[in-house]
Amino acid sequence: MTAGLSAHSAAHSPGHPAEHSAAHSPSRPAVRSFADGLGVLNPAGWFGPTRPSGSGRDGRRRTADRLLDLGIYLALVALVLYFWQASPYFMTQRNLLNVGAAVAVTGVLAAGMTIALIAGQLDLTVGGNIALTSVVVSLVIEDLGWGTPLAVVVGLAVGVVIGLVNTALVVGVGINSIIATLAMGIVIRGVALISTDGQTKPLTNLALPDFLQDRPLAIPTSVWILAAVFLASWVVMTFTRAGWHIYGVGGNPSAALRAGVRTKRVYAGVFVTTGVLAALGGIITTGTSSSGGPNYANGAEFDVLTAVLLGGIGLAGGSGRVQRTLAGVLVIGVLNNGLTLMSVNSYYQQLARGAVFVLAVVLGAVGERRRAR
Amino acid sequence: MTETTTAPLLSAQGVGKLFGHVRALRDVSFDLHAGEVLAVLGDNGAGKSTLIKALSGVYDLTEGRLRVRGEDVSFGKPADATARGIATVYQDLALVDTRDVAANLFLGREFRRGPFVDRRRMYREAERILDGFTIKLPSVRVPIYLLSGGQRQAVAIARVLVGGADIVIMDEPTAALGVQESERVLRLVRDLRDAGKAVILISHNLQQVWQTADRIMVMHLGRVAGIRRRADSTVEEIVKLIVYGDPDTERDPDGAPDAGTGEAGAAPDRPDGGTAHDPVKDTDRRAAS
Ligand SMILES: Nc1ncnc2c1ncn2[C@@H]1O[C@H](COP(=O)(O)OP(=O)(O)OP(=O)(O)O)[C@@H](O)[C@H]1O
Ligand SMILES: [Mg+2]
Repeated sequence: MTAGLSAHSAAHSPGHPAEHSAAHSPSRPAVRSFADGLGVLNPAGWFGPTRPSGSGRDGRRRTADRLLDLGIYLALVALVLYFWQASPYFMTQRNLLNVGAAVAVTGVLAAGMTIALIAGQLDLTVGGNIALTSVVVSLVIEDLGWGTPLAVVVGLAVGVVIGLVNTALVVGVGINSIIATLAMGIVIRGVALISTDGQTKPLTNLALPDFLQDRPLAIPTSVWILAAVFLASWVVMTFTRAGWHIYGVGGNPSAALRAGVRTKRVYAGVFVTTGVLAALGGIITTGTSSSGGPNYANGAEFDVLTAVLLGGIGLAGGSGRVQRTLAGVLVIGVLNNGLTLMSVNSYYQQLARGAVFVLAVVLGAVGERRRAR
Repeated sequence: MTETTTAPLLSAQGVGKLFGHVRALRDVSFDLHAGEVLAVLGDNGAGKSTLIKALSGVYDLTEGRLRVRGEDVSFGKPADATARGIATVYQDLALVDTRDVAANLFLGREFRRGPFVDRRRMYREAERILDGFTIKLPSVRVPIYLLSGGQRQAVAIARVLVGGADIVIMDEPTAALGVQESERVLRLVRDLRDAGKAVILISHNLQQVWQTADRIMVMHLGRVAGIRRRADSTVEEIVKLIVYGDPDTERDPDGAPDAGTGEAGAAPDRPDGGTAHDPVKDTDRRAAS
């Protein structure tokens, strides 16, 4: 109850300064957003003049908006068509499943990152989370001999704990999530390094690798997991109250709070979700590499962000779709796979990946600008 | 307009609010009945926003009491006011720009069917509510960021109806709107009244108030300078009240006509000469009976 009280007073305080600054000059319209005072710091002005609110809007999307919405799907289709005619190996069942398996971990992380960004948060602990989980899982299997199923549960629990710590820092202490999770990611990787003394921990009990190399219905386990994660995320974000509240909290936290949404609980749910999904990524990594390594998934956040941004998510929160992120993940997977099939020099592949990242950022900025006006 | 015989929905008695030693409100008393629009006018810093924040549970009172439907209430948080049927359309509208109209109307109280939200029912209900509005929306599925200012205001007002509130507080609903959209929003306000809601309308625009309000309460330096039936008053009288406060306090040093300067915030900061007699109550009783 006391939490509710403080939450409510917190919700209202951000409104006051803006209201007062505006209300005290009668000649100006009384509604000014906080951002109006930011001048050049206001991101809405970075991409040219913005139209004043309310002019020329009639509640309809323009053709350009619709095209931009379809962009990522069109890009995926175009890439597939291109590599299909460029390489005879590309459009084979085996190769397509390889693409799926190759992006499984990135995809699982991207689903979590999408949810975090919709909530207006960022979780940069996911790389460290993978490393720690993989180390913990292999230590539990090898040194404690607890058996693989229990080790998987422990691994997921690591994700829950990381999520709760992130929540405590971001919601409890009130640190910006970029900074809090960046720092926590370093701490977590440090813990992983310490627990194996910097060594990779190989698995001799191969139950987990066997499970992941299995192909039920001819489809790799990791691809099944990827599909399940995206299906579940899509259902939660589109059809459940929790998902609607995540969109609401991300789009306008103070409005959500005033509407009675328990925003702190929403944030906790989001960080625990990203933590558990990253831990799942760590478990997949442990299985596919038959070992736990404190240096795994170094910089994984950037691949994940590329995929998510390609999906056209708004960094301001409150927008984004899980299915679009999946398309973004697949674009990256297809691009990597296709370039390798065509024997493109790996330096050029690096260049291509960077170019895709830039493209993703540009698309994101354009989308943001269209929403802002 | 019509003589109200029922007990007031909302009644404030001697309400006061101190911020440190800034006295933003003092001895504010008024009644609010179902089916009326009470406009609150006053210069910058007169205490209008402070008053509505006290009524909507954002601030707690330092003096006086509030009664809703004859019951004493005290609001510790906005949810307490909401639970009593008081809803506030905030100046910032409190909408989620990226979400569609229906999602905004039902934010925090989504209909559910089993574990899932009942989207079809929410879209249907949203259409039903907004169908009766003079401001038309292209669809309840468009995100707020594509709507005009008046359309957004309509969505914010519709949220109140979804919540079933019967006391609606609106803080400067037309401040950011053009002439035409203002007209439409004011129509909406009158429609709310005709539907039996009690509406408190904060505004700076006397002309709009004249079109809309049944009674007008003028605030001056944190006090009620007077409450008038619109039909029995004149624009000149109201302007005088806004600028000089209550005529009975005119000779009072506290009531010095320092308000017309538009210098907000400065006035109540004056050293608190609490010597003033209390003519406000008389005026109030006269007007509100
Ligand atoms: N949180 C606060 N702390 C201190 N003083 C405050 C606070 N809020 C309001 N005040 C003061 O109380 C007085 C009344 O302010 P209020 O915002 O209620 O006026 P208003 O009638 O809404 O004015 P405007 O027309 O400019 O919106 C002002 O002098 C203001 O500076
Ligand atoms: Mg105000």
